[in-house]
Amino acid sequence: MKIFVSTNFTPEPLRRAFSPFEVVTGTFNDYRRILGGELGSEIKQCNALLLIIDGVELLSEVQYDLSEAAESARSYALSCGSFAEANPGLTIVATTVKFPCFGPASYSEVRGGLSRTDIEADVYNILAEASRRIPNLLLLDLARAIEYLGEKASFHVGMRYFGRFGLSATLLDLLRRQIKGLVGVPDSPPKKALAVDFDNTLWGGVVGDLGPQGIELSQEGRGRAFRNFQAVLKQLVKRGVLLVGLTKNNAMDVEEVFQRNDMMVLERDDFAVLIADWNPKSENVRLAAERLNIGLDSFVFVDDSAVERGAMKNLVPEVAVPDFPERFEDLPSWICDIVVADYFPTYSVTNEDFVKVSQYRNNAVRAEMKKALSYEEFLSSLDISLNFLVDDLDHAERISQMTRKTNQFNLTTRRYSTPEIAEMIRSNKWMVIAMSYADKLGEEGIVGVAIVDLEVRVIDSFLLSCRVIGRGVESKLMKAVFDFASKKGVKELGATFIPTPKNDVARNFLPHEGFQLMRAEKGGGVEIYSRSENVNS
Amino acid sequence: MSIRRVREIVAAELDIDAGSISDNSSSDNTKGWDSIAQIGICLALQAEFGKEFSTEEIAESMSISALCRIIDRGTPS
Repeated sequence: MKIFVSTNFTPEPLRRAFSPFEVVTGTFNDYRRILGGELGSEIKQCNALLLIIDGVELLSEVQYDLSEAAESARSYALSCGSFAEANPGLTIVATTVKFPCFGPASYSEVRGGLSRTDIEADVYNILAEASRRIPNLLLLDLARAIEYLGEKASFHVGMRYFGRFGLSATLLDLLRRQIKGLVGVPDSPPKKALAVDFDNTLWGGVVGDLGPQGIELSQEGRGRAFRNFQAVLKQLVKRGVLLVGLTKNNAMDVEEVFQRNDMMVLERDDFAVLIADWNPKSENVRLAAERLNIGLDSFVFVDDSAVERGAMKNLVPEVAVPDFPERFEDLPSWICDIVVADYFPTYSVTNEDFVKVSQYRNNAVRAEMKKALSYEEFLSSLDISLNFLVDDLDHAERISQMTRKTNQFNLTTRRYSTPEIAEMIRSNKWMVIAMSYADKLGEEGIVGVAIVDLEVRVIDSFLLSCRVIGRGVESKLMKAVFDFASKKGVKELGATFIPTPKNDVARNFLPHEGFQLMRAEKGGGVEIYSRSENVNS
Repeated sequence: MSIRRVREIVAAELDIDAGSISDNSSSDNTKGWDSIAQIGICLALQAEFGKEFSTEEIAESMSISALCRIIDRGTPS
């Protein structure tokens, strides 16, 4: 993954600063030239353009004149928007601007009509508005990052006056983490599930000893830190993170906490899976992964006990295990600063994310129905209704998200960013089909995606959310692919199956759908298929 | 502070083999050690030793021996 970085200071020292990204830099203060011009070949070869504006350098350039600074900053923010619109296939990450705390006009700025805060807010508002409108423009809030670390820790004055490079190693490290979260690292997609311990994690003390009312959970004092921690977890659940409870306790004690302790912020229903018993957590996390039908590498495990964390790291190395804060009072900020920022970063929340927990719970109900009926009876009892959306720009974000997150039922596991999907939707060369699902238990939103290269006449991507696997809808999506392709004059389509350690469930799908095997690599490698329209499967 | 670690950091920043940097290496006898590379070196040393150099120190420490002197000055031990 290659990023071109453009700045208003010496850019070369950034080349090593943002690993794992490969950084390409231009020349000193080249950001205006880049934003005002055509897309150069050097940037075209990169996946993203990152613009970093150092407010101290900006002030220095206009000799600390605030009206000029305001003009310069505003023109930067506006041109980010127009540049992003003109280059929809390129991800643009633009920073906000932060000026020093103290300035020559001191406290009179507020009444003088123009303050540093006004200019900072102006840049933020312009970029934020543009980012809501333009899918390939992402805002990186440098001003907040500097507030978090403090001005003194964020800047390096020695280097600033040695070589016009004023950002400290600490600030660069924080920016590196934020860029990873914003742009995404292809090999480590965001996590899906957060598995939490209960005693001394969700509340203070051990419920088995103190009883459901005796645990530390309160409006004031340390108990409030646990309540705030729970409140953050509750927000994560609302945003689509699957919360899993893994606690070594008697199940009855735990149920009683949910029923009787009114200081609890989390409710029983916030948990997609809750396992309270005395089995090793390494076994229980596998059980939870199975029930949710997601991979173990989708899990983050939070536990105050170093022994439990060590056991999880050793026995289930796929699960991410962050260090736990030393003081309970750090829990509410730690969960946001470290766990959310590094493991659950999201720039856009799709509608599908908001309803995810109820969907996973509905799946449990469907599983019960399935037990009682024959498979065919079960399927028809669901009253499944599918809707196909072809080249619909409104869903570019969700489609991109699906290509990045779907590992199991995915024929080629090709990952695409939102700008890339938007580009395909606009282009005549490609056809992008999204399938939304509803049944009598609820709506699942977009759960299937097919991307067809109409020029080469091949199915580039075909994937299905694991939530709906086994309901026969994959065949319906394939039928839609051929129906829509035929409307565009394409009757025959090739398809590829690229095996990965995770997509075995999709291995026999193409032959099952009537595709003929044309070529296969030896030893279970890539398989190439073809099928013409009039095949009955 | 270990002089070996300083040599390693300088070599990594200059993108050259650690073996080609000695205790006597400086910008005069090492290819690529210019002022831009010096910023990268100071960033990496800041991350490693927590020492923030002044402008004068950065300008005067374009050699392994000078870098070590300045880092030692900043770390009480």
